[in-house]
Amino acid sequence: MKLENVKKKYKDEWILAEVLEEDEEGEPTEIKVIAHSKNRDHTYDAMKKVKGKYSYHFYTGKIPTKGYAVAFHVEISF
Amino acid sequence: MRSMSKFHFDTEAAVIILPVLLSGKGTSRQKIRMALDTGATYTMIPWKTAEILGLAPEISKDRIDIITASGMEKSPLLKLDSMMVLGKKIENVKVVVHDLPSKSCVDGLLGLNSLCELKLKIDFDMGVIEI
Repeated sequence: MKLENVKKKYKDEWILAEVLEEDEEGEPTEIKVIAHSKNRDHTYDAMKKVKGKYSYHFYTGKIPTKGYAVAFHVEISF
Repeated sequence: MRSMSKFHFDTEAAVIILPVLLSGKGTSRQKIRMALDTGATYTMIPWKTAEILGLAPEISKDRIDIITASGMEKSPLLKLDSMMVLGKKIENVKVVVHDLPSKSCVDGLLGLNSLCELKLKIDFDMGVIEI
């Protein structure tokens, strides 16, 4: 399935897919959906199915979700 | 000689997201979306991704303390075989294994250690990243 069609069909969902084709810049164009869900835990759980393959995991909605701001903060100590 | 790659981003965007191809041991490769984060010391990838790439995070002895919104935890610090960003490949990249909150809508952070090695340049006025 074309990547653009996947984004339309599974709006605001997490997608785990196998990459079948990509363009010259390495952006996947043709993918096979392995799992899709509004809950990321479900697509993470399905990851064992893509071991040994070229896969793509992504969210189809807007980033960040409407109404949210983003503040990544991870402090690392040694 | 490799020519520079250009990536255009929305200068109004709340966060810059880049697709990153990760390669570990064996034939597994996974592309995920990462937030460019100059405030993160290390690049960060999720547990499940680390597992399918054969990095075995659960048995890693090399761990670092990270402080997150939910408290302090020890996370594995592993070495990824390679990473490709906008057509440029870097090898033996140190990554922290930690799951970002689902609401972040991205799987990982592209941290300072990778950004430096990639020699990535950001033009915020023009909304262009060059590698």
